[in-house]
Order: sequence, then structure tokens, then C-alpha cells
Amino acid sequence: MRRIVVALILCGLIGLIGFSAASAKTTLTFVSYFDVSPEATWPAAAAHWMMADKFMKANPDVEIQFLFVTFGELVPQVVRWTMTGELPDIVALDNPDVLHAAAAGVYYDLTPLVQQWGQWDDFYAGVKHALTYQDQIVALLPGTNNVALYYRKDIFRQYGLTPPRTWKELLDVCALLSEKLAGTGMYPLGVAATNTEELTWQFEPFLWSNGGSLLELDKPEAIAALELWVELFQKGYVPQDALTWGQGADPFIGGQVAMMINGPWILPLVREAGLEYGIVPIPAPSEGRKVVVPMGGETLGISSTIQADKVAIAWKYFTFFVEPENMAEFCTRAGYVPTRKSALPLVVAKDPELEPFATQAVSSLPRPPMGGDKLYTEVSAIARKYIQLALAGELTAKDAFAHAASEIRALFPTDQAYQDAVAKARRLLEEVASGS
Amino acid sequence: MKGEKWNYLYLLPAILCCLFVLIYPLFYNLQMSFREVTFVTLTRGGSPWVGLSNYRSTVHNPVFLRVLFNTLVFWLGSVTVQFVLGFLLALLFSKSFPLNYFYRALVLLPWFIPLTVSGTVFKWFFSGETGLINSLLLGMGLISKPIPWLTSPRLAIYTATLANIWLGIPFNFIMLFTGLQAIPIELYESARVEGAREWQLVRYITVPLLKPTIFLTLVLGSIFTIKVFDIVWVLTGGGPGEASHILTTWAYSLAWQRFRFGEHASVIGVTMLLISILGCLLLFVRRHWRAE
Amino acid sequence: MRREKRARLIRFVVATVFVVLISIPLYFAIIAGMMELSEIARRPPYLFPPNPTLTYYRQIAPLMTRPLLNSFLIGICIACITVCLAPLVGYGLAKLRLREEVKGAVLGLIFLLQLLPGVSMVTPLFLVFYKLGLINNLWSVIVAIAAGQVPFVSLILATYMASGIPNELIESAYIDGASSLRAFRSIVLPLARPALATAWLLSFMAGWGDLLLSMCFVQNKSLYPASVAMMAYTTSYGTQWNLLMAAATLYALPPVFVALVAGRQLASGLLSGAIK
Repeated sequence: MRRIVVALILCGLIGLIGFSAASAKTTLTFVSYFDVSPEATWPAAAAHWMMADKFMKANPDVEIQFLFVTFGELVPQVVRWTMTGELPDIVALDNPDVLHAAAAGVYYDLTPLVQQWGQWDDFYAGVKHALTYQDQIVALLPGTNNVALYYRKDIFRQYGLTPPRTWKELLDVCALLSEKLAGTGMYPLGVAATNTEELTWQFEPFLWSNGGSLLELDKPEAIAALELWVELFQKGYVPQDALTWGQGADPFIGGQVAMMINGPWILPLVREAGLEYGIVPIPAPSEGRKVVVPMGGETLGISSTIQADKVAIAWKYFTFFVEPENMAEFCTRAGYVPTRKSALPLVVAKDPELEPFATQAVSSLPRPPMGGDKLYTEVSAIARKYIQLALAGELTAKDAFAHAASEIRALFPTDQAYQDAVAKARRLLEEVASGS
Repeated sequence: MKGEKWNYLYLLPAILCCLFVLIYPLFYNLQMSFREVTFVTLTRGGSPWVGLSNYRSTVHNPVFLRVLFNTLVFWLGSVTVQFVLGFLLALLFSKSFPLNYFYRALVLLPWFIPLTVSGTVFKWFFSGETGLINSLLLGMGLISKPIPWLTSPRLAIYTATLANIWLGIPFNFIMLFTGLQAIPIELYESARVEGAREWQLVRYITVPLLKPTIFLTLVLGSIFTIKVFDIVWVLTGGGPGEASHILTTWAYSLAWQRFRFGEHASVIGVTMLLISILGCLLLFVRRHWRAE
Repeated sequence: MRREKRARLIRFVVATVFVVLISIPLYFAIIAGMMELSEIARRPPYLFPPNPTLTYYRQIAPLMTRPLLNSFLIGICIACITVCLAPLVGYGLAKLRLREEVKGAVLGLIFLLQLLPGVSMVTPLFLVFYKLGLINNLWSVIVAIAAGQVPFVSLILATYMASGIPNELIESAYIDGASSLRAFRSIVLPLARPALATAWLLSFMAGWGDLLLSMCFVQNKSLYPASVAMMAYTTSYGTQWNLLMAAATLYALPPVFVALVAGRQLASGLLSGAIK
């Protein structure tokens, strides 16, 4: 009996807690996979708070309420919200997911607002592609990231090495380091080769810079890229454990590797660890070739279910966010790089170490159009499955990609659809890779 | 007896609960398994009915047999070892010794530690040359080369099973320990008076009287093991190269990595079928028990 | 007497070894909370923190208070609801003379409930609770989990009652004119105490350990339980291990106390002199 009473009291308590106080302010709900709050310690989360705080101070009648869903659950949760017809006002999805979300009707069409705003052309070509769905602009990208090569300056100095700029130089440096570092437990190079999108994303710079395409993996350009990675693994330059590594900073700051392919988001952590480090662009296939990297970063989108009278204030937040100075501040705080030309010099001035990432970002490409648009996630899943099998030594690079290519071709309903996708990918690659 | 018809009301809470959280989700998943569902049709509706086509794709998928094999290994390996360890622990803890109370709570630790954390710690344990387990084995001279626990497509599923054993000990322990409490002490005492030894007590008193609990523990343990998702996902993600997928992780990857929701639902359907077959088999075994 | 003492000692040693082995992951979590990220990342891993610091624990503790409280509320409510309802069902299944077909059907229904993996239930349940207007209220989580626990726990209670409570006791109560409810309250419930303690613990843990439902059903950050709040320290770009592990340690400790309390009820027969 007593238990029932206690339970009822607690029930009442919870019922109370469940209701949030009504406020006179306009509330914008903002969902992302960062836990944004004043106490946030993760750089990107803290940066989001900084921007929101600045905006709220300038617009005291607005309150931005942050919701948090973990990375793996954000897309499923957005789907659930769409099914009920009540999404949070602002949705910050990872940019490759924008395509599917737009098709599912998640976004409010920003095109008229953007046209009125007139600053669209300041954004990089790849960025504009990434945010457009069927000629509608559905989101903005306030910051982007990609991967470059981190290396330990102290170790390079010790052995008189210069950071590699081409694939051949990379292999040479690794060979030397492998010899010198034998027995210390440190490996020459680390990559993220785990069974997730992280692997495809780290492989794509090598694939695309060599002129390869995810949709034509059985071509020599793609196989060459995989053979490079296979060699790195088989010669022991990269530890087998990398097959379980994500893109965290741990192997680099823990001293497990002398070089690591990673992005600007670990820069704050690397600095905190007190290492002597340097950053150079991803090694190109050969001297003079341009490095093409995939585009990272979370977008800002207004949901289609937002109340009509809130659209203006949400858009005001967006334009505030992507103003060059604000974008620069956000990027340096978060460890991202800008997506528009006028913000580039500001960011590089604030934090010169972001320069390799910032320059690579100018010619970065969104991933879905490079892999069959809606089919990209499947293409990526197939590609990385076979990449992993090749790296683990189960298949040769050639066989692995032969299998992958045929499975990927089979995804397309018609051969015409496949050819169209291939052509689209090639077009985008040329657009960006031409010029140096 | 007065009011016997009202006695059916006792069962009402379970019926209501089941209907509430069972019927709609079950129906939702089943109907999704008979449709072709894409990202767009999932949210906007209008998925076309395709009958058994999803099931056919699932069964014909080259990965399917491997996934079934992995699930079988995972299930058998986990349940048997978890059960034995849980049983031994329950026996051990049913006698008094110092700190018995305190230890009993600590044995439940695998339950209390969040899966993301324990998954990660196990990942550290099982990593390449410098993971704890390889360092120990190398240091003790038991192996000469580090074992690729998580990076070998062949070994990965066994490693995940090992981690799952650790996770499952609390459940087995607490079920069997509770069951032991139901056995009257007098039975043991009178048997002891007649000169029975410890292992005889276990064999002739404990096990027979514990049979219903043992049965329940094995059945529920099996069901829960087949439904496990997180530990395998955190440890291997189904890799390398889809080599360590079990039914649940494969279903998840079909849904959220490939956006094939219909096929995802059909894999869930296959999982449910498997569990049902298991349940029926065990019920059959139980009836055989009862007849004894 | 000496043999008895030696036996106790042996059991103690065996139990200690086992407890130490099973706690190893927790140990690593605890020390990770006391190290810098670069120290945690070092391979081979440190077995002791080289420069132990409580900074991260101190940083995490205030941030975790509200979430831990939320976890507690969720766990306790679920446990109380379950322990109020499940014994009734267990009694009905195990002790009452009801038609076998009905019992079989209920058992089948309970069994059917166990088939679905939790991950598959989130979306449909989300839709249901949305229609009920309970989204953004901890009640949705509590009701959803409790509704899943009642059938499952009923099975455990029924099994216990079937073997652990002699039918003769109940029969004699009936003969004395008691109703089924009276028999339930005065005979079955007291004798089922160990199973009730286990039931309470199992349902509490179901609530305490829930991550997915809480995260998806509740959109108010102040209502997030500790399991969700902890996830702030891990992102797709990497994890702040020290903060995560510190939070996880704080999150793992309350259940230990709950288990200790439940354990008292569970084996109350143990220390009353007799040794099994």
C-alpha cells in the first residue's frame, strides 16, 4: 500500500517536471548531434553555444533551445519527427544526409530567402551543390571540414624527414619511419579504417585525387588508390588496429602513430596534448596534381513544420551565423573551416594552422552526387566493406574492387540511371579538379 | 469457490501491457517487412506492397548464411558459458562468507556500466599488440604474435561473444540465485543428516527443484542474447567487412546505412521466427522434463 | 568448526577473485576519468594514472546531478509500477485455478512480447505516444518501459511462486474461507519476497539503463536521464574519454547501492542462521 502512495507522489512530481514554463519569448528549437549548452566542452558544441549566445544577446526576445540526439540516432529521429509532422524548428544534419531529408520533406524551401539575401555566390561551388535539391536551396553550411595529414614535427626533425607531398614520398617516409621506429610501439601512419562512413570519407581524397570514382571502382585509378592503402597496411606502416579506429585524436595524441590522416576538429585536442605537430595537405598521387577531398560539416536547415511567424527569425539567425566574421569566429572555435570565399582570409588570419584544411575545402565535393545521389549510403557501405576486406588481407585490391564495382552497378535500376550517375560524378570531379 | 470468474482479472495487467507495447510495434514491423520502403516512403507513406520479396532478398543475400552462423555462434557461446558461470556463482553466493552481501551487488556490475563504456573498454582490451589481453598473453609467453581479436574477419564474432558473456553473467546469476531462495533449507538439512555430500546435494536436490528456473533462465537468456545489438555494434560494427554481423546489427545496417527499411523489417521478421522456433523447441524439451 | 571456517575462507577467496575479474572494466573506467586524453590514448595502456587528477570528476559531477536524479525517478517509478502489477499476474499464472487455455494464451502473449528487439520498437512507440500527447514528458518513457517489464517480470514471479510457495498453504487458507485476494496478500506476497526484490531490481535497472527511449521520447534537456546526458561527451568526431568515463563511473555507482538494498530483501533467509 505504501508503495502505491510513494509511486503516486513520484508520479505527481514527474508530471510537474514534464511541463516547461511558458515564456514570452519566441523559442526556436534546434536539434543537432552536439550537446550544446553553456557548459559544453566539445569544441563544436561550445562554438554553437557561442553563436547562439551572441545572437540571443543581440535579440533578447528570442530564445534558442537546444535539443540533443546522438549522431547515430539523429537521422532516425528526424524521420520519426517527420512522420508525426512536428519537427524542431531548426535541424542541423550532417551534409550528406541533406539529400534524403529534402526528399522526405524535412526542409523549408530557402530559395526565395537566399535570392533576396544575395550572398549565395560567395559560397564554394561544391557547397552550393551540396545544399541544393531539385533546384531548391534547402539548407546552409556554416562550416565545413575535411582531412589532411598531421605529422609529428619532433620525430620528423629527429630523422631529418620532410612531410610527404605525393604518394611515393608517403611510402618512402613510412618505410624510413618503420625502420627507425621499430620496437618503440609507434607506427608511421594512422587512418580511420573502421566499418563506418569514416572509412569511405578518409579513402575518398585518395580515390578522387587520382581521378577515380566510387561508381567505377574496377577502373585502374580506383584500384591504384586501394593498392596504396593495402601496401600501407601490409607493410605494417599502418597498424591492423586501424580497422577499428574512428576519427578521434587518440592514436595521434597517444603516441601510437607519427602521422595521422585527420581533420581540424582534433586541433584543439592536439594542442592541449602539448605535442609538436605540423599539418600538410593530403599527399597527391603525383607532383602537381590537385587534391580533391570530400566535404564535411553540419548544415543548418529550417524544418518544413515550423510555424510561419518563426521563419523570419530563424532565417535571421542563419544569416547572422554565416556572416563572414561570425563564420570565422565559429570556425576557429569549433575547429572547422569556412565555406565562403570572403571568410577564408579571416579564418586563416585567426588561426593559420587551419590553412591546409581551408584551402582543401575550396575544392571539396559533396559525397552523395559523387556516388549515385540517393544510393550514396549504399555505395559507400559496399565500397568500405570491400576496402576493409582488402586491408585485412582477405582479398587482393583488384578482386575486392571488382566485386564492389559489380555490386554497386547492380544497385541501379537501369543501366541508363547508372551511366547518368557516373557522368554526373565525373562532371563534378572535373569541375573541381581542373585548375591547380 | 466464490468469485472465481473475477480471478481472471489477475491476468489483466499483463494482457493490457502486452497489447499496448506489443501489438502496434509487431504489426508495424510485420507490415513493413511486406512492403518496399525507402526513406521517402517511410516518411511520406505510400510504400508499395511486395509480398515476400523482402524475405526472398534477405535469404538470397550472400551475407545471410554468414549472419545466421554468427548469430548461432554468438547465441550458443554466450548462453552456455553465461549460464554455467551464473549457476556456479549462485551456488557460491548462497552460502555465507565474509562480504557476501557486498560482493553480490558487485557481481551485477556488468549491468550497471553503460554499454558504450563497457564496449569501449573491451575494445581497448582486445586491441592489437598493446591491448591488455594481448600484452598479458604475450608477456606470459602463451602466444608469440598478437591475436587480431577484432580485426580478423574470422575471429571478430568470437571476440564479441566473449564480451557478451561478461555482460550476461548478472542476469543468469540473479535469476538462478533467486530461484535457489525458493528451495526449502530443510531439504538440504535432512539430506545432510543422512550423510549426503555437497555435490550430491546439488545434483539430487538443487538441480531438480531448480528446473523451472533453469528453464526460464535459458529461454529468456537465449531470447535476450539473440536480441543483443549494442555490444557487437560498438566492438565491431559488424565488420571487418560485414564478417561479424549478427541478425540485429545486420538489420540495423540495412535500415540506417542502406536505407532499405523493408529488408530491415524482414530481417527482424526472420529474427522473430528464429526466436519462436527456439521457444517452441525449448517448450518441447520442457514437456519432456515434466514427464520425468 | 574449523572445517567450516576454512570453507568460508575458500569461498571468500574464490568470490573475491571473481569479483575482481568482473570489475576490471569498471576499474579502467574509473582511472580513465583521472587521466588526460593523451594519457588515456597511450599504448600500452597505463594501469595506473600517471598524474591522477580529480578535475574531470569535479567538472562532471554538477552536470550530472539533475540527470542522475531523472534516472532515479524513472527507475523507481518503473520498479514500483511493475512490482505493484506483476505479482498479480504471477499469482494468476502460478497459483490460481484458471483454464489452461487462458493461461497458455497469456503465456504466449508474454512470449510474443519478448520477440521484438528494442531498436525496432522505438519508432512505432514514438508514434503512439505522440498521439497520446506524452512526448516530452518522462511519463512516456516510464509507461513504455513499465509496460514492457510487467509481462517479463510476471514470468519470473510465476516461476518462483510455482516452485517456492507450497500449494498446501494456499489450500488451507481457502478452506478457512479466505478469498483469492486475501490468500495473495497474506500468504503469497510475504513468501515471494526474494522474487519481488529481484523483480524490483530488474525493473529499476530497465529504467536506469534505458538510453534510446529517453533520448527519442523526451525533447527537454532538463529531463534527460544520466544515460543520455553522458552521450554529450562522445561525438562522431571523437570522444572526450576522461569526461565520458567519469560520467559513466558516477552513473554506475547508484545501482550498486540499489542492488545492495534489494539484495537484503533477496536473501533475507540467508543470514537467519541456516546454511544451505
